Amino acid sequence: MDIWDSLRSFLAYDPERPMLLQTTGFFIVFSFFYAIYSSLNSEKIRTRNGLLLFFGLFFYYKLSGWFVLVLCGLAFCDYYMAITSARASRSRDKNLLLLLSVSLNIGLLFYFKYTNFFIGLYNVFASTNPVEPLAILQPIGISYFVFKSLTYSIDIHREVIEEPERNYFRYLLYVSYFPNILAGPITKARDLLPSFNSTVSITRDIISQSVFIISIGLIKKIAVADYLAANLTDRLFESPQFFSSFELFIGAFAGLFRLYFDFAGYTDLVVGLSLMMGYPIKGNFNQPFKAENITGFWKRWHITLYDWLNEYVYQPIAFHLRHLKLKGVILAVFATFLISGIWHGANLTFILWGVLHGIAICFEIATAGMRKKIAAIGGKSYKVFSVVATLLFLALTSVLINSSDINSAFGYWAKILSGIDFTLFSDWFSIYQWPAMVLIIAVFSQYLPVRFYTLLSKQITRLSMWLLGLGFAFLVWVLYQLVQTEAISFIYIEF
Amino acid sequence: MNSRPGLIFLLSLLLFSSALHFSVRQWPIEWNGYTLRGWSWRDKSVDTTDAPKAIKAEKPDSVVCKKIELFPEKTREEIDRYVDSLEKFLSRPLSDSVLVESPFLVNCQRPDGTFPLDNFFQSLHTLSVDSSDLIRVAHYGDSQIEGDRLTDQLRILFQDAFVGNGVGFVPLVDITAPVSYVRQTGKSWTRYSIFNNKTKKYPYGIGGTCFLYDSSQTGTIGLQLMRQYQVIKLAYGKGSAQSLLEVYSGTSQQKLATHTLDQESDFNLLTLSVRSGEARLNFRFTGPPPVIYGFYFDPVYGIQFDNYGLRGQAGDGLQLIQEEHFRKMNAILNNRLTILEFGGNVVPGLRNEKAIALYGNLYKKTYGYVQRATDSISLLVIGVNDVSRSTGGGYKSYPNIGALRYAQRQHAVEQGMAFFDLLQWMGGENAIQVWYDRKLSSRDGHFSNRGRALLARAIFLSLMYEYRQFLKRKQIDAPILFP
Repeated sequence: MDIWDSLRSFLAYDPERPMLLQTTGFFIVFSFFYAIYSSLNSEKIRTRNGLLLFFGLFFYYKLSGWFVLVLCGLAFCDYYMAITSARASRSRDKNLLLLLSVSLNIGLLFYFKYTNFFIGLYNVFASTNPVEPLAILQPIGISYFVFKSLTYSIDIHREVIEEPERNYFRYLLYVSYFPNILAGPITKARDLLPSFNSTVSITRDIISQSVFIISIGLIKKIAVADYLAANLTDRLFESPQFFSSFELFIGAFAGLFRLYFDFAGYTDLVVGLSLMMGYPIKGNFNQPFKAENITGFWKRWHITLYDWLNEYVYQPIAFHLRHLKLKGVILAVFATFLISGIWHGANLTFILWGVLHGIAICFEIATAGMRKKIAAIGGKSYKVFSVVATLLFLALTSVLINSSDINSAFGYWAKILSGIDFTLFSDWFSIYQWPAMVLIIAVFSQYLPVRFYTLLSKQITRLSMWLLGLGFAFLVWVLYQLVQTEAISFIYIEF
Repeated sequence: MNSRPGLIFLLSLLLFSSALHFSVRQWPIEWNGYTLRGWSWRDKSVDTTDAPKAIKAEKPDSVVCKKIELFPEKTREEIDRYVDSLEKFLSRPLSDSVLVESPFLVNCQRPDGTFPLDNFFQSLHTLSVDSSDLIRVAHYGDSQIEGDRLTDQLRILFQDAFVGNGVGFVPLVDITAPVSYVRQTGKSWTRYSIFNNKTKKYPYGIGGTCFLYDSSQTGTIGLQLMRQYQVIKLAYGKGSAQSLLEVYSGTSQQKLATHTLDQESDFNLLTLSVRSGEARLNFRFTGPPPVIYGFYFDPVYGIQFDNYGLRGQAGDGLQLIQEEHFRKMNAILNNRLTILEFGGNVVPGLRNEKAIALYGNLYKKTYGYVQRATDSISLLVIGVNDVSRSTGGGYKSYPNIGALRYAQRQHAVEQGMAFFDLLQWMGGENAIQVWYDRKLSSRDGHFSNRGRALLARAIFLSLMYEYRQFLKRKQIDAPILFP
C-alpha cells in the first residue's frame, strides 16, 4: 500500500475504527490542526472559524460517516426557523415555528434512538402480530447536538437570545463544535455562539491549564475506567450469576466509579481541548460523591444536563403546575427525571433508573423539614451517614445503567439481597489485588480537597512549555502502555 | 492571538515523543515481564502484530496420531451455521445414533498400545457389571467451572448412565456462589489455597485448598443440598482426641451425629453416621482444629464427579500439592479420571512469542506433575475456550488463543493424555461473538447455563463414543444404556 492509499484510508470513514478522542490517530490529526490554528492571527475570526468548522465536520465524519449530513441539515432547519421566528410579528407564528423546531429535533431523536425500543414494547404487548425491528443506525452524539440546537430554538422563542445568528456556517460551527459534539458538556447557544464572534487569546497559562486538564482526563479514562472495566466490572455485569453476593456488592460500587471516571475523563478531555482552542466551556462534575443526598448529587453530576433539564423541562412544568404547590413541584421533579431516564437510553433500565432517582428527590423534597431537624441533632455523624447512604443508593441504582437489560439488573439485585458474606473480602482481595487497589485509589481521590488539584494545576502552570511537552509525552506513552486492548469507547457516547 | 506557547508545546511534544520512540532500535521491548510498545499509527494491539505465525499455524504433531485434525479457519457465517447445527445435534435425545466420533476429542493410542482413557473406561465397565464400587472423577478448572458449574451437568449425565447421586466435593469456604448447594460459613474459618493465601505450614487437600477454624472459637458450616445423596464424608488431616465434629439437622436443629477427628494420617476420609436425605445440615467443629479439606456428598456406589474450581488459576498451582500426598489422596478417594480445564486466565498474557512459550512450558510441567501424582488414573485435558476483549467500539477475540490451544494439545498428547479441543469445538478463533449473540456464553468466555449444558453433553457423548470403541477393542459385548 503506497502513501496515497494509506492517506485515503486514513481520511475515509471506517465504521470499525471510529476516531475516538483518546486515540493516537486523533492526537496526530489534532496536532496538525492545532499547529495551524494556533498560528493564525487572532483578528482573523472568519479563517479561524472556518478551520474549526472544517475540523469539526471532518471529526464527526470520521466518527459517524455520512450522518454528518443529518447534523448539517438539522442545523440548517433550526438556523432558518430562528431567523423566520425573529422576523415574525405574531406570537402564533412564533409558537408554530417553535413547535416545528421541537418536533423536528425530538422527532429525529425519537426516530434514531427510540423506534426499535417502541417496536420492542409493542411486540411485548401484541405478541400475536410482532413487528420486525428496523435496521436503524444511530448517529453518534445525536442526544447532545439535538439538545444544543433545541436550546437555541427555545431561547430565540423566549427572546433570551434577542438577535438570531445570521451566518449559517457560524451556527453550524456551534452545533458541530468538535470538543463537545460526542457527549457534551451541553453548551447553550447563548453562552458559546457569541464566542465565535470575538477574538481569542491563547496564553501560556491557558496551554498549561488545558494540558493539565487533558492529562487528568486521560488518566481517569485509561488508567481507571478502562482498567476497572477490563479487569473487574465487565465480567461482573455480563454474567452476575457466576459471582457471589459479596462480589456483586463490590461490583456495584466499582461499576459506579467506572461510569464516573469514564464520563469525567471524557469531560476533562473535551474541556481541556476547548480551553486550548481559546473557548472555555463548563465542566460536568464537581466531586459528586461528596453529595449528602440525591438532590445534591444532581447538582454535582452531569451538571450541564441537569441545568438543561432544569431550565427547559422542570421549570416550565413546575410553572404550569404551580397551583398544586408542593404536589406540583413533586410532579415536575418526577416528570423531569423520567425524561432524563428516557434520554439516557432506549431501554427499561434507564427509564427505571430515572424513575428511582426521581422518587428519591421527591422523597427528599417531601421530608426536607424533618431531615433538617435530624441533621441538627446528628451533626457530623449525620453528614457522614448521609454521604454513605447516598453513595449506597447511587451504587445500587447504577446497576441499572451497567446491566444489559432489566432482567439482568433484577437478577443482580436479587443476588446481592440474598445475603452478603463480608468474610470473603480477603479472598476477593487476593484475587483482584490490582483492580481493588485501583478502585480504592479512585474512591480516595474523590474525597481529596479541591485545593489539592488547584495546587497541582498551579505547579504545572509554572513549567516551561518544553518541560510541559516532555512531561505530557511521557505521560501519554505510559498510558499507551496501559491500554491493554484497543481504545474502549466512552460510555456516555452511547446515550 | 499569541501563537508561540501553543507551537512550542507542540514542537516539544513532537520532539520528545519522537525521541522516546526512536531511542529504542526495535519495539516492542521486554522490561520486568512487561511488553513496552512504541507508537503505532493505528492503535494496533501489540499482541496482534506479534502473533507468532509458526506456532499459530497447524502443523503435524510429533506424536503419531491420526486423530489430530487440521481445522480450517471459519468465517462468522460459517461459525454461526456450525453452532446452529451443533445445538440441533446436541438437543437430540440420547441414543446410539448420537454416539458418533467427535473430531474434538483426541484419545490417541500411546506407543505401548494403550489409550489414555482406557483405565477410566475399564472402571466404568466394571461399574456397569458389578455396581458395588464408587469411582470418582476429579474435575479441576478455573472460573469456567467454579461453583460446581459444568461438573454438575457432567455428573448428572454420567450418574444417569452409570448410577450415582450427591453433589460430590463441597469446600468449606469459597468466594463463588455454587449451583448445587447453598452454603453459610461461620466467621472463624481461614481458607488456604494454591492460588491465593498460600501456606507452607499445612498440606493442601486434593482440591488445592485446606481450611482451618480459629482454635479459640468453633468452626460452623450450614449447608443446603440441592441433590439427593446417601453418604456424607469428611476429608481431614491429622486430628486429636479433642477435635470434635457435631452434625445437626438444619430443619429440626436436632443433633444427628458426633465424631472425634482423631486420626493420625495426613489425609483421612471419615464417613459420617448421618442418615441420607437430610437436605439441610449444620456442622460444628470444636477443639484443636485439624486441617479440614472438605465434605463429600456421595452415593454408596456408582460414579461421582468432584468439582475443584479455582478462580484465577492457570493450573500450575496444582504443583504445590505435595506429590506423595496428592497420590495418596487420589488412591483413598478412588479417582479414576482427572480432568484439567485451565487456560482462560493466561489468555490476556499471551502477548508475544516468549509469553506463549512460557505458558506452553507451564502446561507441560503441570500436566507432567499431575500425571506423576495420579499413577494409573486417566487424564483428560480440556483446552482453552475462546475469550474476547473490548476493542474500539466492540469486542474481538484475544489473539494467540490458537497458539495456547496448540501448546496444550501438543503437551497433553505427548504425555499420553486425552485432549478435548474446546476452542475448535466452539468454532475456532472468533467463535465467541457467535456464542455471545446466541446467549450461550458471555463475551469473556464463560458459558451460560445453556452453553454449559451443550458442552457437558458434547463431552459426555464424545467420551461415550470412545468408551464404546474401548469395549469393541476389548471385545466386550455390553451396550451403553441411556436412561
